[in-house]
Amino acid sequence: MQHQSLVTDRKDFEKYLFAKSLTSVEDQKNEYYIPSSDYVEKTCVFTNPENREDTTPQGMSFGSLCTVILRSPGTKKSLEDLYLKYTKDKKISGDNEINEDRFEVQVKSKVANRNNRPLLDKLFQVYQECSENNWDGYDAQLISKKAYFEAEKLIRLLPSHVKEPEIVPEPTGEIALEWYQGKRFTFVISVGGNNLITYAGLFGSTSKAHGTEYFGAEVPDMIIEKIQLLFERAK
Amino acid sequence: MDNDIALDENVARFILAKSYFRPSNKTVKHNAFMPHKGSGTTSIFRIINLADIEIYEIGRNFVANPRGKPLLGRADIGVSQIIKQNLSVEPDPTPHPRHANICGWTEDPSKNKMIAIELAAEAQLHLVDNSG
Repeated sequence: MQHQSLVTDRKDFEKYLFAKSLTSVEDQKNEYYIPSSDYVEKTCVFTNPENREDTTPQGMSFGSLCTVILRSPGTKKSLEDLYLKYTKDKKISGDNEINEDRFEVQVKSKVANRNNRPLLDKLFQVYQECSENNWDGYDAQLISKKAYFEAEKLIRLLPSHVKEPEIVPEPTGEIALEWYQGKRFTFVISVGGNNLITYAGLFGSTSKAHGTEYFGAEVPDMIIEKIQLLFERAK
Repeated sequence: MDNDIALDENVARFILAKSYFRPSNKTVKHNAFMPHKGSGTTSIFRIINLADIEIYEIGRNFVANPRGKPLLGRADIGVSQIIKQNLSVEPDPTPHPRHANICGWTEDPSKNKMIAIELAAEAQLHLVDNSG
């Protein structure tokens, strides 16, 4: 397993803040937040510009879910609202609990060797394009934040040997991952933020399958097997 | 327009979203055919005996422009391919005499996805040249 940084620079923060409907990142200049959620297993690593080894605030530990850090008490309220809404662990660490030195934050998660960044960028782009109703001109339902985050989780959990899919918005408000290998060789899975994966695929002229699987902490084996089947049949 | 739709007719699904097709190989994606959640149907137009220019005129005047979207292309498919999926094509002459709907979609999202994939596999993509 290779560690991949989820949040490393300002651009990532902007994306994250946008997705979380937080106020403009410009308003929180020089403040750093560790995105926290209950959908990605992650280890939090704290570093500062002087490369000190560990500036982990008191009361927090590696892998903690309590990961919102405030540099300014003025923004605490909005962050608390956001934080309490999205996380299980409701503890907030404020200014007086962290080291005096300004520090940068990296969130690292266990992901496979694949570089998911281009795919996640594409996912975010699709989310932005389809975040309002009627994005297709036919009254399509908007892609919700829940769907977006679940699709992100799905991408991160795909095994490294699985070829990169295409991101496809669906008019039902779901986000689909599509593996297209030819006219009758297509496999599509989609999520809508309700812990379900809906799948359908053509594996040649006579073989097809569709159904729904529960989506918890892992991508169901059956889904991975279907993806593999597609590529085997399409050879 | 005759209310009886022949099996050998072609119908067109006008495309207003770039995510509904693959420009790389000029193929249609399944989402182009998925039913509208409100009506449970897919809006199409009968294109029998029409030249390309007339088809696109309908697409612009009765689909794209009223929705404030650019017309990017259309996905043509035979009525027989739709019927083969246990769906039906029902005339619905609003906003245009050639307008119709693909009806008979199921309540099962995965089955609908499957059907939409099948339809997309049989559809022919025609893109509008918007470069000029």
